[in-house]
Amino acid sequence: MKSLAIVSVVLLALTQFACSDSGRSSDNNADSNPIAAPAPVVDSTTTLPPAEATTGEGDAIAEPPATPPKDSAADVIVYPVVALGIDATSKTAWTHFDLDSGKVVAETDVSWDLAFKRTSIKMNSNVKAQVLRDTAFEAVAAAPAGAYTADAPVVGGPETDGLFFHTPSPWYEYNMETHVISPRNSIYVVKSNGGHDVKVQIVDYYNADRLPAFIQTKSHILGLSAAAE
Amino acid sequence: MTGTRTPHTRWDSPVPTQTFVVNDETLQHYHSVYELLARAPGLDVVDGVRGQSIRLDGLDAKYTLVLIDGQRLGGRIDEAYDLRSIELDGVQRVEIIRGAGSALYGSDAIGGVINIITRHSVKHRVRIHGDTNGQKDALIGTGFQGESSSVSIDVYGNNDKPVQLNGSEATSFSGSKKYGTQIIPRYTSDNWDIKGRLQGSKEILTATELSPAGAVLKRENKITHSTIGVEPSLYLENESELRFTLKQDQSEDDYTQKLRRTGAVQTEQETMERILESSLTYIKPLGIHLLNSGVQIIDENLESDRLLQDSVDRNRTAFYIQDEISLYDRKFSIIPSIRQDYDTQYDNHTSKKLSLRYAPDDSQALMISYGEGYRAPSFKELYLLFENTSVGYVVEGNDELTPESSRNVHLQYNLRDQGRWSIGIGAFHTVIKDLIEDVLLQRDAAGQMRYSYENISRAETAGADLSLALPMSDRFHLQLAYGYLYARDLSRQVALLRRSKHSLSYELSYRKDRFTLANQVKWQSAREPNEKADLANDKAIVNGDLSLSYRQDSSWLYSIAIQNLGGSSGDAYWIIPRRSLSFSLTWIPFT
Repeated sequence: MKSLAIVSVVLLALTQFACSDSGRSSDNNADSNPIAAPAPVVDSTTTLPPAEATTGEGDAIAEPPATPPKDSAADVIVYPVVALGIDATSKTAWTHFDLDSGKVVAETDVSWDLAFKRTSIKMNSNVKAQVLRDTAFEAVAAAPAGAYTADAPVVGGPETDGLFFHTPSPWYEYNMETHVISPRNSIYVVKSNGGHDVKVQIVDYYNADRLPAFIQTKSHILGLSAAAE
Repeated sequence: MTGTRTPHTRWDSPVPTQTFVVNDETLQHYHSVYELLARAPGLDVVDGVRGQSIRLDGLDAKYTLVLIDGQRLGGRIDEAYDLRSIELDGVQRVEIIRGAGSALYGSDAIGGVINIITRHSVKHRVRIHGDTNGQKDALIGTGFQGESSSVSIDVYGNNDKPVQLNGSEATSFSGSKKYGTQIIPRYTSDNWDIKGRLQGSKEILTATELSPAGAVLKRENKITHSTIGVEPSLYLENESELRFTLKQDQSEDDYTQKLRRTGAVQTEQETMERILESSLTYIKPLGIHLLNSGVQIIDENLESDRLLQDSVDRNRTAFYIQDEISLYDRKFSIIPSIRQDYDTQYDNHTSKKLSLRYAPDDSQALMISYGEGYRAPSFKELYLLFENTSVGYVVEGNDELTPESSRNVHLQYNLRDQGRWSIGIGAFHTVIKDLIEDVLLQRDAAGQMRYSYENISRAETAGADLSLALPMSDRFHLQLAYGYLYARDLSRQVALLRRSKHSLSYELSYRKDRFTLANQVKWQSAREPNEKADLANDKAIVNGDLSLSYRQDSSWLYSIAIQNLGGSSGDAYWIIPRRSLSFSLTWIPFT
């Protein structure tokens, strides 16, 4: 079976910034279930980069900036929420995801942060994360303090042993009767190898056709507050 | 009779046998063996992926051995035969022996044996049948009858639509388009005869499935089935008989599962099953004894994408001997039998049976039988490698499995006023051990759930039934039956899932001149829950038909029927097609 990489991109309009008294992103729109909405099927290379607040011409930007763009007049730098369906149907090959660009990348591209294979999720060696249980995606505004942990794969054991997304319990729950996999209500805050704090939610294990191993992710680079700096 | 493999009349059969004679007038609106049996009490319906089958004595369809003219049938996938695919019109009668019958028939005969006896006489006929649910079928039967030889040829085709489940996109048993032919040549001489059998059919099954995660999938099975067989018999002095059978049965199944919205293929599998069966039977009366002995060799071969290896083979050789001893002027008979099976997959298995019949006079008979049954692990349980891609788990066979085995006691008392009424009371108890169940091994390296099979469980079923046949006048005829079932999983100490405790059925027919009016109803109590069952769906089911047939003369027979008279939708395990009006026409040009 040939699998298509279905990349769904929801770029939330940055309708307002620079208003010192509003100070909020339009992140709330993400609640309208971006996964279930008919998503354009595009080549994974066309994944949109984070839009720059100041230009309003998001798709004109070829490379995401290495450091968050700052508008001297603004209090807050806001990255868009990236909703991406990742084809993890292969039983042998991992699919690599670079959180900084919001793109699926080749295994040889060292910029990858997370990799997916069926229900398994691993992190690149220079990536660390922290999990927030029973937390809503919107509720996480900044990277929490506390320890961030890297994967510690166990040599010779099952490949998920010691992986952060599987320890102590995996990122999903498995229903033994129906065999349906459902994500737990957790938000992962990942310190990416691109230098960002990124909140990541695994929204679903299934695509819009309800086929398995098409992992629906939602990620958001946590913006830096100019005021906080 | 199926129960003894020797000729007996129905009443004299030393083993309790239920016989369903295919009666033209009252059964015109049924088109498959399944529909005939679904109405009977104590025979519970099991909906399968590929069709429907019957549960005997509360035991699943895989514990019932289905035979056609005493021989095994190929093409069993998912452990059960699809009785809906067997055209009723080619059938003369169906005999059901409840209780373990492995001492004569070998593996699978734990719940009992269903023997479908086909029409052998040459009968020229054309039959068409259809209903308002879109079900259609047609058959042409012909042949020639000479002094010592005959050939009977049937050609048939049908188109069944799948049945939509209430409030779901999924369908229950598959829709089917099928056509096929059956040719039976026969030659009879003074002291020998020979019978052949050639059968071929093509069928396309279609269904819509819903994965637990919600994917809407279309499945299609393209099935080609063929049988070729020869059966010479030699009639010797003193009424002894030597019979040889050789038969090859081949079944090919191409299975495709696609995502309905895009047509993207999710699963493709090809399976080919071959059964080569030969047997030699010797029947010899010897004073008060009637000896029946034989040897049977069954070679099974399976090639499938679903196996751990490309192809698997197994051979089973069996010897059996049965003695029918008649004492006290045939008032008392005692029938011991024993069978030894040697299987290439495991060493051997012995099955025994002992039946007693006491008939003090012509109006009553008491029968007691003890039987042992076994079921050899199926190819699927031994060698399957199945990955459910749309759900996400793996099932792997276990070649260390041993046969499941059972012990069973059946009691039957029949009382009749010859030619007027009859009453039958029966009871049974069965215990099965080493039941094969799927168990979770562990997650594999990729995090997938991995299941396999193990001989772990024990189960028990018991029950009683009562039947009454009562011709109330020359015209009115009533048949009434009640069945009670107790079924328990002894390993977990819970009720066996999805079984009804009580079932009740009747058939009332009225004949006047050329008309026959018949009403058949079956009621089944709510299925027994256990801690896993979804109680919300459990309710009693009533299903009934009303039919009227008119025989114009010896050539024409018309019939009209309302099926599912009460508009029942059944339940999750017995899906009943919507209420429909059906028509059929049979034309017998000459006899």
